[in-house]
Amino acid sequence: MNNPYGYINGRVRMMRVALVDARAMDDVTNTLNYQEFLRQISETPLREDLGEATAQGAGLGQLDEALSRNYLKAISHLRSIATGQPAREIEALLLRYDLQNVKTLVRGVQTGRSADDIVAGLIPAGTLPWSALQGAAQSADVASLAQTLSVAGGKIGQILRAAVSGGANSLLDLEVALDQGYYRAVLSGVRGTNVRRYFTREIDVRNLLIARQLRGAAPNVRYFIPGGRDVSEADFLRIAGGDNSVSAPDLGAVLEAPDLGSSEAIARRLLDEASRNVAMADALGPGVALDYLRRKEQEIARMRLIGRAKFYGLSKDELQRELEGA
Amino acid sequence: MAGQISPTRSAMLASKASLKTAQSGADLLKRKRDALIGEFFALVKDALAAREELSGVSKGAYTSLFGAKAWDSPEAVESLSLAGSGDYAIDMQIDNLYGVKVPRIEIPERDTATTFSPINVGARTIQAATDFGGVMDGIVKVAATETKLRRIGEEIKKTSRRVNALEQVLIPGIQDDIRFIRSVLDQREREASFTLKKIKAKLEADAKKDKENMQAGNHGSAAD
Repeated sequence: MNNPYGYINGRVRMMRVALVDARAMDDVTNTLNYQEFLRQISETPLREDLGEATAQGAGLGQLDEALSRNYLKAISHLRSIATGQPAREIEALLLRYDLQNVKTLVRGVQTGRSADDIVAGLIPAGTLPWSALQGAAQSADVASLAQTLSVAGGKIGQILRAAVSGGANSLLDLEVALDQGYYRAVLSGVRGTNVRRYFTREIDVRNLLIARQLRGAAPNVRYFIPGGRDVSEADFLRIAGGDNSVSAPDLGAVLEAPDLGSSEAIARRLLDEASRNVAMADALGPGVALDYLRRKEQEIARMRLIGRAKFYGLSKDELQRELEGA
Repeated sequence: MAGQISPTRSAMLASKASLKTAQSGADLLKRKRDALIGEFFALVKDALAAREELSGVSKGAYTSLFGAKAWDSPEAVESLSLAGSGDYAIDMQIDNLYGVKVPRIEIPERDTATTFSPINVGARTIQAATDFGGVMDGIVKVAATETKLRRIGEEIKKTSRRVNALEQVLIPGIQDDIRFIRSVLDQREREASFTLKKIKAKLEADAKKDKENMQAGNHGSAAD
């Protein structure tokens, strides 16, 4: 029997070819001003989604919209090419958008924002139907929101319901429960060892970043994400207390960076590398899609950064410093 | 004004009293203005420092936001903004400064505890959230000093207008009145004196005539 990923990954590789290549990225980076930047990205595969971003008087708002549109279109396209078991595995990769949407809903409902304000913060990505998200935005309280989302289906909605039933009522408690539940759901949703290895690495990296961020405050295990491979709960507490040693040598760089921003940049590079390794090792699994999503995300992030730098007239060196943080 | 006043001695005394009151009022207002100008310049320094501070923290905050929106996506950053309650309570009291009501705003102690989970939030975004807390404090500080400055400035302008009105209009008007009354009274005095002199001269002339007639009568009877 043919592996369905043969076809899917072929399509994903075609999508990867349509990403902005390094040379085009350099051309965009070297543009002199915002107008030239817009002209340059009009020559990349992003052009079909630029829309009003290139219109007279358009600003960063229109550029952000255009880039988000392009990114969401790529996600939607990725979902459309998979069916059956691969579709479920790819959906597990898209749970992070559900997480973001559910967090937006919880924040909005908990702080008493209007349904319109909440819907404006939602993104049409992930596995939850848009109509369910819109309906959930009308919820009067978090308990009814959790009820609505768990009825609509989706793992994050169930995690929220479990958290509410478990007595979590503050925004922070709910968010921490959602974040930790998200990683649990992803690990249970992906079958391949390669993709699992990527997510365990992501959990380790996240734990290191959070532990570093917590330094100076009382060590607290509340933010520890279970499921990693190289960073245990004890390591988390030790690192949060100021220790820099970690069992995996490549992760040490995250802790030794001079500041949190640099740590994050190193973490980003580690995860890029991990996703590339997964794509190579998992040629007949969801690893290729995972790597594509990460590359696309980085491409859009770089475009946003370059666009902002050109709009505000940052020097080449300043932009380079920002991009090195990538 | 001079035309409306009755040129009497009592009116002159009243005008002189008004002049004295107006002059002491102008003097008091000038002293109030000087004191307010002193306060104004002392506050200008604070206001400039507050502006400079706001500009510094804003630059940092917008730089953080710049990176946050690029790396964590504008949607994620906007979603995080929903986590804040949007309430910002300040403690404001009204002080009385030389009769000017000015606000005294206490900047509240900032709650550094985040309301959102830091697990999937980038360092730039957390930094931006912290920096914008500083921007909020900076805005309140600028609002407090600049409102105080504006109120004092308005009061200086009002006081200057009052001093000018007293010095340029009211006092000269009263002085004109006094001059008018004095000139009318002098004129009356001169007229009275002239009349008295005339009467005196007439009386003297009549007395002389009577004397001459009397003498002439005496001579006639002697000749007869």
